[in-house]
Amino acid sequence: MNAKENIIARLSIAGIPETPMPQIAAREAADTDLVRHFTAMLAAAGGSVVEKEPEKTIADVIGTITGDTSGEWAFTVAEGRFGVAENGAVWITDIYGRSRLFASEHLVLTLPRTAIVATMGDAFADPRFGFGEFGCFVAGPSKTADIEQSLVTGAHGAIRVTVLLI
Amino acid sequence: MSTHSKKAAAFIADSERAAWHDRALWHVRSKRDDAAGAVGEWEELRSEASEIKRHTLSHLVRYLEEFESNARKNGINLHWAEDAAETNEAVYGILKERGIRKLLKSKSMLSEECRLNAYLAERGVEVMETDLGERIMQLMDSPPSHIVMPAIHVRREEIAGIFAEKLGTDPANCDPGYLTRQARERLREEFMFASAAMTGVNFAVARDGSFVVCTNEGNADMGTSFADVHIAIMGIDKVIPDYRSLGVFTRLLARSATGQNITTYTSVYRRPVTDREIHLIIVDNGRSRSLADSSHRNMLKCMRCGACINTCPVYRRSGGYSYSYFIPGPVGINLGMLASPHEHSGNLSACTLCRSCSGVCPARIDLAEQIYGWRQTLDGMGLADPAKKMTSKGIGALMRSHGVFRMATEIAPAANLLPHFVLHNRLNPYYGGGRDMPRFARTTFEKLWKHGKTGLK
Repeated sequence: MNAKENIIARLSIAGIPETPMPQIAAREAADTDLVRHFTAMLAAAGGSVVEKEPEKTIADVIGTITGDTSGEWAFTVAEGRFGVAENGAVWITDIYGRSRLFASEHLVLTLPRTAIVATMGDAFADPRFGFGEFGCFVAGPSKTADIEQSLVTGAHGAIRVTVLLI
Repeated sequence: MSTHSKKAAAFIADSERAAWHDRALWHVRSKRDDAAGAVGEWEELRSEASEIKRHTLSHLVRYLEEFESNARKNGINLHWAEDAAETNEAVYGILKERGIRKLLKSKSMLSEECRLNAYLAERGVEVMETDLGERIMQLMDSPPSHIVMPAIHVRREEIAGIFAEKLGTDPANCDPGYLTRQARERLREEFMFASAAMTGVNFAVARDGSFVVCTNEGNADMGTSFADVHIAIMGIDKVIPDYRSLGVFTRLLARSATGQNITTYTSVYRRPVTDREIHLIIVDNGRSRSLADSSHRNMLKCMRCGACINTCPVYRRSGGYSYSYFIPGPVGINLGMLASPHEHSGNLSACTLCRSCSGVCPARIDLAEQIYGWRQTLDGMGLADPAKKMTSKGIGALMRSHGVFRMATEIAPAANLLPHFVLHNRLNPYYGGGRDMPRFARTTFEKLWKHGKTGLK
């Protein structure tokens, strides 16, 4: 018998009484102004939100956000599929190549302002939660508090995250 | 004295440092409170998480097989390992076959459980921890003292010192921002040229054959983004039915662990990118045996958030190194007993039965109740503390007889007049090296009541 068979055999005699999957309740948003809540929660996670003015193009605004920075890993722009208001996370799938999402110092994520859901419960049920090889909910810049619980923004991933609401 | 109290003596000897550690952990506990308090349905989420885990564990064979089938269809290489030895062999086998001599590692408590790092090092594979806390402990050649914040017990000056010694940084600069930047700069090149990266698994989704890794630093994702080979290791208890379940767990995990609404990165891996590989090792290492134990199978609901550790007053004031098991605090006391009762029964005394742990556990594990349950089994295993056993018998005899009890309460106040050393010595378990006995009241409430002197009408 191999490892899998042995493990399955032991599990099969564990004698655990069967219990059903619970009903997972649908939840109402804590704050019905999803854009405001998202903005506040992303700020709490160290990120920031910029709203695109209607008369400007996306390219223009991104130019303003990224400024004069240059270098291969200075910044990356990626398309966020949707955002989650309760925590400021944005769902991204690796259209442009995954490494850039993490290795770039400044990550700029475009996000349609109508594409914000209330909670992670809504997020996983959302039709836009789809992906191929890989997807990631990114909530602000990388961070660590491993040294004396002192929060440092910018560990190994992005040092700065800006969400551009379009 | 138990193993825990002996080791803790060293920790509390430095009372200023012990107080600092206590405050640091309590701060994390209070951040959890703020985060949980902002979620109106927090208690319902805990119940849902508990029930999802119970349901999954009661159908674990089905869900593991569903997960395996879907993961394989996705092109993920699946391996099964019965114990630590097989886990380590599987990891080494993957690396050796490909001639890979360096592994970039992000956090995995399972890898600590299997002592993977030492196994690989002995076979010429360099293992580089990339999580900052784990990296610090690796450079200090010491184990982590907490499952989420490995270096919570280390002061910034000490980190500056070890970085200066091992990495050549400025020994005078102990600013956390500076030290973190230094770690970032040095690891960046390692990530970009990595051949193999290892992650743990927070959740394995049976319905989709995908798995989830929750992190803050970006080290796990840096490693897996650049390396051609991604090795993930998981305990059999990590499988969950579907994404709907994730909608519950991802709302609880980070809030419980650090007080964040979510970790910076919640990465979902489904398929290897073209020309790359994902290997996933599913590990038992005693979990199937624990599942068969009806008093303790709840431990398999654990999502390793560390909330119980942060709240535990004994952990906060004794530190991770006071425990004999590699995981400290309430979760560690219980897992240690499941792993090896004889080796780890000393940790059972590291508990005041305050039940704060059971109160914060996002999966509603009855941590304190299980510790209490283990204590009842100690005598049967021949592991009961003889002094405590004798005291318990004595008090039992006292309490069973009205006459003896009454006499004792008559005599007791005389103890207040005895010289200090008579009651305060090693023979009195209450004394325990520092506490003074409470002073006995001069008369009992019963007597006062009978003489109408309680002030109550």
